[in-house]
Amino acid sequence: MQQSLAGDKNAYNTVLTETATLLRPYLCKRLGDPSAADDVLQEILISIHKARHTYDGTRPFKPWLFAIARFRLQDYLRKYYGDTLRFAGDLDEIDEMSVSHVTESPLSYESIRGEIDQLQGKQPQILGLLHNEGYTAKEVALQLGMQESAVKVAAHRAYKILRKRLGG
Amino acid sequence: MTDIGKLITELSEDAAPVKAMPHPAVLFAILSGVAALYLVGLILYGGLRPDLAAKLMSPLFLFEILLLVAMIASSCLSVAVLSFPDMHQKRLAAFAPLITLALFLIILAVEWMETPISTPHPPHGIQCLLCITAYSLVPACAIFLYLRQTANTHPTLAGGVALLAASGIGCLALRLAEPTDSIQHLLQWHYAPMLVLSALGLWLGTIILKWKTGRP
Repeated sequence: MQQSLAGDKNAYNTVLTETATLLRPYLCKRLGDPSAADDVLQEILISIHKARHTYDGTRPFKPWLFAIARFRLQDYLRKYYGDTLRFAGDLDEIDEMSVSHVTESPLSYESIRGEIDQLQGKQPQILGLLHNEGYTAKEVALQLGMQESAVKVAAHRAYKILRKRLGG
Repeated sequence: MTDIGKLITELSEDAAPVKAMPHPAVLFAILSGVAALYLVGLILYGGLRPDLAAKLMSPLFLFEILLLVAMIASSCLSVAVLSFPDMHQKRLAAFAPLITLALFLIILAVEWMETPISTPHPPHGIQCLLCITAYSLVPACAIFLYLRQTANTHPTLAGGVALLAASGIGCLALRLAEPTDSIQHLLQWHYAPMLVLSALGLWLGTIILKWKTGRP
């Protein structure tokens, strides 16, 4: 990002491409609609371009990036709900517009079971206990004879791998 | 190539070198300096109350003035930090004006309890409100114009803080000029309007500091 601020177009291209790769699954999870996620992603990339003078490279990049991403996402959701309410013909149409409809994730534990089973070590077992059985990290740690922090680290690493495989 | 791919290529082609904004500490120094200069200008225009030196010996008056100054300074700090989408990762600084405002209201409450009911009210009232509003216009416009050049992601808070700073400067200039000791007058015609203007700023921020959509 620092190189791109200096005018390095290739570095900037890399930053934007990796940003798009990082944000797309985040937006898909929150919007549940890939084409809406692409629209919001375009707005975010444009906003990053316009706001890049506010990042100097001396502090972590992700908080800056996600601050812009969350702001544009909120703008989009505000407009979406506003338009839907404004143009709804009757109460039935408003009823159909629920928070869960917009933000429902297309992914559930069962839908990505195959990917989870391909994870290494205790990761599949940990994710199964956490998300399928509904145990807390502490309870999972007790069952598997691990430290709670180790369970959390393993889960975090598993999410990272799954995000990469599924987000593409 | 997808739409996103095309957009990334376009934006990359447009990637001219960009000068990063200064650190919030530098921005705070600049904003405070400009606010101080403006205040000096208002004092030169409106004058100082003849008994100011004696009044500054009174602890309550002194605290009132110091807290007004602190409120303006903390608002400048908040504006500096709110210029960045991530608040330059100094979130607490953005909310500093709330602390100084709370302390200021406590001092006003103490003054209310300590000031005798027999203290004479000045004959004017609405003139003070109009004066503070007029004094606040220039700094308010300047702060909003400045914030539009930045990447603020908290427009409501930024708008409120902008008008708190601007109306605070107006209140301070008038407090140093007007020889009144009536806390009722001050609350009704000075500080209540200041709070109303700040509340108005919360709304104005959502309109004036909205980000445009679409390509640059």
